[in-house]
Amino acid sequence: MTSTDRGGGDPGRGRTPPAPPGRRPMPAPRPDLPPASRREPPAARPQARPEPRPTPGSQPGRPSPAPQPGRRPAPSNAPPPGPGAGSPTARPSGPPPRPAPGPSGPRPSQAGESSAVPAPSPELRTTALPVQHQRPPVPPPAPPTIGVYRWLSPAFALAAVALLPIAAATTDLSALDGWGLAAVLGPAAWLSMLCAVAACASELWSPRPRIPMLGTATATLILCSYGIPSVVEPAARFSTAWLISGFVDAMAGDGRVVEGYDARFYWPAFFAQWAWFRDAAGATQLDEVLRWFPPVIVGVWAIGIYALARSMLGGHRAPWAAAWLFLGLNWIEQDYFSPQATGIVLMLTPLVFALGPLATRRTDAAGVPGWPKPHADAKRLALPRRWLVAALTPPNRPTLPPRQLLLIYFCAALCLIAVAPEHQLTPFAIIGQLVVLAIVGRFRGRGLVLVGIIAVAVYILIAGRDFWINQLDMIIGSGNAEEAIQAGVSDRLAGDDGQKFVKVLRILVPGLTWLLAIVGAWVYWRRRRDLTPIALAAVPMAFAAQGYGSEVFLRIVLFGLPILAILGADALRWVVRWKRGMEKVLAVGLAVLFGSLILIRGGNESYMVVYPEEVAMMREVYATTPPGLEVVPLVSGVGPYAVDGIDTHSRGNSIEGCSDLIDDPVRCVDLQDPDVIVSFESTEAYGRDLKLMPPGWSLEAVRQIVATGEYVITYQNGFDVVLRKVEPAGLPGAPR
Amino acid sequence: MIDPRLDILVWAAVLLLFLVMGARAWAVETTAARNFRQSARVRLLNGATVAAIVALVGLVAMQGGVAFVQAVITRTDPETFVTVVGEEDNTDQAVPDPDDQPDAPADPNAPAADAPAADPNAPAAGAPGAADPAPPATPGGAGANPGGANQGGANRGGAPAAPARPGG
Repeated sequence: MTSTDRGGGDPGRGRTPPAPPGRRPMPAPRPDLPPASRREPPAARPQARPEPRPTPGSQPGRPSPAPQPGRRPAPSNAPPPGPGAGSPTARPSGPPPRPAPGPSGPRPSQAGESSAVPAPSPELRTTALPVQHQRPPVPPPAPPTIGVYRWLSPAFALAAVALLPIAAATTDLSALDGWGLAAVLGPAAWLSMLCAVAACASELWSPRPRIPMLGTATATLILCSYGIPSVVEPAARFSTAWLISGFVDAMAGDGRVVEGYDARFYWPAFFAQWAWFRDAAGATQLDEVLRWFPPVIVGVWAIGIYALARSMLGGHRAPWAAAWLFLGLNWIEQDYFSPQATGIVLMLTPLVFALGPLATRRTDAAGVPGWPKPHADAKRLALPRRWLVAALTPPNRPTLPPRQLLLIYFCAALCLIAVAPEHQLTPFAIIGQLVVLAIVGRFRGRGLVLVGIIAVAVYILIAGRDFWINQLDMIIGSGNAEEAIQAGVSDRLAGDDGQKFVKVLRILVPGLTWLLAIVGAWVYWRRRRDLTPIALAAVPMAFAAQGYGSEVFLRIVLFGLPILAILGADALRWVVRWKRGMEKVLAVGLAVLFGSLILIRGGNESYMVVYPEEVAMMREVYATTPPGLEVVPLVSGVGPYAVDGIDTHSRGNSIEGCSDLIDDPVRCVDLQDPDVIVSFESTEAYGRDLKLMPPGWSLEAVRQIVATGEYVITYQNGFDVVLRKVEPAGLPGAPR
Repeated sequence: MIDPRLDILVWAAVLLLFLVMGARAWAVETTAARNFRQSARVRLLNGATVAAIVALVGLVAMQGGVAFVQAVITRTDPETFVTVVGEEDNTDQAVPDPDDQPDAPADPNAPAADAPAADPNAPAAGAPGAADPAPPATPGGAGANPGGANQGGANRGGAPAAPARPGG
């Protein structure tokens, strides 16, 4: 895992933290020594100073202390040193040297007596460092002039935000097609994104980057990229976000989960959390929360990436570059209102703790990093034996007070416990990463791994008992990686030209991300002799063995992306240090990256967009349909069909060959026999752009269903249609 | 056989274990011992942690852990051999497909489907008036939304102010 067993190690780890400027770092006191011995100056390391030639009668252990650099020497009675007083060759014509005293001889003269004692010959003088003259105080360097950079980044950020209303006004959502959001965005939206990139790049170029300004520029960048759909669209996008809003709605009020509806209800913490928020706020819906949730949660993720990168990369600029790289590469749309979005926050928090304040290195008794050895010349132990020794050897204590350590343990444990009922996959990702760190001895607090394992195991076995009794297959998975690849990659390459292009980009970007990260891992290895980060990024690949399903690759990329982005930033830093002019190229690359992000993330926008009229239509449908009846969308997965009625209305059964009603409208409707059928504008776009069906196909399907005489149209607004089953008059819910 | 009422013991054991681990962390981080020597209180809390883990593992094994491991190893459907007794239901049940519900009980007065249609003008034998017609079945059958639990907590407070009735 690491090469620390070969003596290499992290130069920044396990050392005494640097002392404040102008003060010499003091060695850590050793409590096992008596107080008197603690005041002894530390023995000079052999590597730091050549071995002095033993001089008869000299006291090798007591060299005359040199004044500490940066500290004014203590006043003494000695006269001011004359010319060349500190140099052994300054007085060649002085009196003959006095013989050096033996061990029992008189004590050598002290500093106050030096003027009365003739200087010894150069050969017999002490081997201590020569006395250094007090140099005239060097004036502190003048602060670099920021100049135009003081206003450049704020001006760009303000321009980016000011352009957003224009972008919203100039975007024509009715023209959405298979190319998605990028094709309909007006020039103001693109200009806004470019201004946000310029705000970030100009502040990073500043001689003194300001952290608040970098944070503001990053927030602007998130708003102008991840927040663009929230700005230009009138309601939250993504059908699943509305479905989860329906889950929250079902839990609000009585706080009871709905059993037998969706497996996600076995991990109800997110729904319960937002149901509590909703009830506490006295709100009746979360529409605006859904709309602005993605940019806000991505901002929280970016904070975590920045904190991680500060620990792993150091420096003032590289952590910000890592955060931007993460943002630019994260096309995986898991930032909608969902448990996994919060789960990422709960995953990043312990990881930041483990690689930040809890980070340490395992050293042997002499303080040498690496696998513990009984003595320096001991033979290298076998690997299992080293693992055993490592497991039994506690990592070094970080340089933090115990109270801070305990507070960090508490917060990390809280996150690990909270993530267990939050999401089904995230706990395994963070536990796997902590296990890797514990094996290589990179953090203190290995009990956190135990806390995470116990929390997840007990939650699944006890609280999720109904789940594993009824759906064990979802836990053990199919184990068929080939099927997962086919469902997750090849089956998704469908649709018109725009859809295919976007999906090819979605495959290419993770590949390039891994390529860049591997280069970064090599750079990291050269600097720190450490392969742990790339192992952390590879841990989520274990999900592929479980055969989670077609989305498993999205999860693998998402859970590994924080570390991959940080390694990629390390590679880019290496490039910039190699050739300074590459900074400009990388700034252009950042703009291209965020442009492609808007293209990739918004590629499905034509059938992911949701309009407020559709939400109102569905709420009215549920309000006017008696509980217990069956409401089915023409196509599931698009439109806000489940914004309500999760615990009051049926969704029907799954019928062979009729996963959606559009598979064979007349036959499937006859078999499913729903009471209400709904269709949206996104339904039409789904068939047109992804299934290559002719324009107007959804209205044709509606016409066929109506032609059976069993259904009538009770509402139509463009492609938004509500069909109700014809019932004998007088029944509740029957169309009039 | 799993008794969900005993789950409280598992949760209590988890809480106890976390408390003991927290106390151990406090003892480890605040002790002055060095060079791998452990203080007495750390040794004591180590023992308590191990005991708490053993107790928790035993309770979890009793409450389904053994069955889970057996089901995973043998790839057997746990429903076939796991028995849960005395389960307390604190959930809302999803609304079943109304078409799956059994039909409304047949009206004994209704004519058989294959019976020849009676002359509507003919008076019933021995009856002064005509028989009441069979009541129409409720849409989706009589068993739709049984129990009514869903209706109690259904979207309480969540129904927005109804917009204009679509389509009217």
